[in-house]
Amino acid sequence: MKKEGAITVKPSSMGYALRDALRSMWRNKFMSLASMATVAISLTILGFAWLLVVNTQYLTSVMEAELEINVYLQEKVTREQALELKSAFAQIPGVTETVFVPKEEGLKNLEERFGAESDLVKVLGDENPLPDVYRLKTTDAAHVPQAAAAATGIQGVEDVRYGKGMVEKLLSLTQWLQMVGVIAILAVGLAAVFLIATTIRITVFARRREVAIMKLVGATDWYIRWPFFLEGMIIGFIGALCAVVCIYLFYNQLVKNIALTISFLPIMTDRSVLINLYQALLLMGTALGALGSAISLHRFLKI
Amino acid sequence: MTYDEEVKVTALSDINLHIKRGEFVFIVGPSGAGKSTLARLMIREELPTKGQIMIGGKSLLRMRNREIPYVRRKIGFIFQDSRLLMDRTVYENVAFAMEALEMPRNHVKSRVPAVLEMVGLKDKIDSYPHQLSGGQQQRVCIARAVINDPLIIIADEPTGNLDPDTSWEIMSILSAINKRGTTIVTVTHDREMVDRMKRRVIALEKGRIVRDEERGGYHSET
Repeated sequence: MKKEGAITVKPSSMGYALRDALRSMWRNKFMSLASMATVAISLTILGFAWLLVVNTQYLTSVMEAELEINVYLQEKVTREQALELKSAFAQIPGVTETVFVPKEEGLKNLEERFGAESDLVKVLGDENPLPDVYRLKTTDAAHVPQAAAAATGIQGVEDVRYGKGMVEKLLSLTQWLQMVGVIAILAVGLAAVFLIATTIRITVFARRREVAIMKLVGATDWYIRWPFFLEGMIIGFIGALCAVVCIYLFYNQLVKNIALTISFLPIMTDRSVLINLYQALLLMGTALGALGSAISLHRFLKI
Repeated sequence: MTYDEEVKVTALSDINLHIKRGEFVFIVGPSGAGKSTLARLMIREELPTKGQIMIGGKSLLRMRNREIPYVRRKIGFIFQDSRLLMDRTVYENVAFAMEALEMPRNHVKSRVPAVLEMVGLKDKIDSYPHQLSGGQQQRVCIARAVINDPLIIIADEPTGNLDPDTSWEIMSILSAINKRGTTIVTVTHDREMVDRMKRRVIALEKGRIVRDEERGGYHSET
């Protein structure tokens, strides 16, 4: 027995559906092209918004790796006391690494930086003016301000320094970009769905006689729906394909140019991340097309 | 498996009608008598506010939406305005009805020409509807109605726009289809035709059955 109301139709009917979808696209070729262009533009914007977000995250993670808190100990703290403080710093939430830099090592580092030939030590008169220092690293930039504040409260700490301001700015920029990215993605996605829905509405209208006859001779609802769904999905997919090609070419060029001119700016070039993006865009284009079709079919086909 | 080929209609204006399998029935009456409404009720394009309609022992009222296609597959339709797709050839118009029932392509390819030959349109297979006369268009419509082997054919004014000779040709084709066992219900106000065919006549007036005669004429003989 034939199962009634099944979503699927026979494979041979899929052939009919594809033929009808292509015929319909060809008949409304300008509208189909306009919809594809909208999907392409929408998904290109979406792709770049996403790349922007990914790159700020990448930038943040690169900078986070270099971010550290310098904790200067008071001069009166003895070496034993100083070493005991290590556990106190390690207990601060978010702190992953605590490195003790005794003042002798600090001076050595300083000497190295000035060059072996410099007579820094002589000038200072064998007196080491540097304090003992703890270098703290955190899981991410968001933890730096609180960790720094916590370190300030520990007995024996003279001063705490980190890239204050810079961290906060970086953080707020990332959050802002992510928010803008999400809003752009939603707005652009809505626009694409709306345009595909309009195209399918026109198609439904152009084919209303066919649909009426199909219903009369006893076609199932899904047999009637499939060509429209396919049409929306093909439009969405081709639009997405254009977007992917556009992003691929432009981003490659951008990476090349940045490497040549502002090479200190880190840029994300992870191949698998990019391939994921392209796949996601193609899937999204197809899904947007199906959604647009579904809206129009529901509103104008009454099935 | 048996399929009880009976149509029983009890509609709005106190109509009680029973059509047997294999019958050829004319529904006649003045404009506005409810002839077309009756036809539309039979194909479930409309539902009665009260009463029951059964086809082959199955109620058209107590039926899920998704079951409707399967009832309609048992019924073929012919309309006065033929309702052909103007941008498709004769072949495509008839094949369309088979494709809608998800028939495989090779089956469609062999069956469509055979049915077109039966209605005498074999040489017009690649013509477009606008290249055909009214009678020829109506024959395409008949081919489309019988292509899926329906048990019943409902024809709403099938000869409404045609001259008497052409009308007679169309009726002959319907008669031939009826001889093979298909029930035919024809809505018409073509008096000559009805008188000549000598079939069961159901006359409607103001939404009521005023006459139901076997082998009757357009007007009562008494």
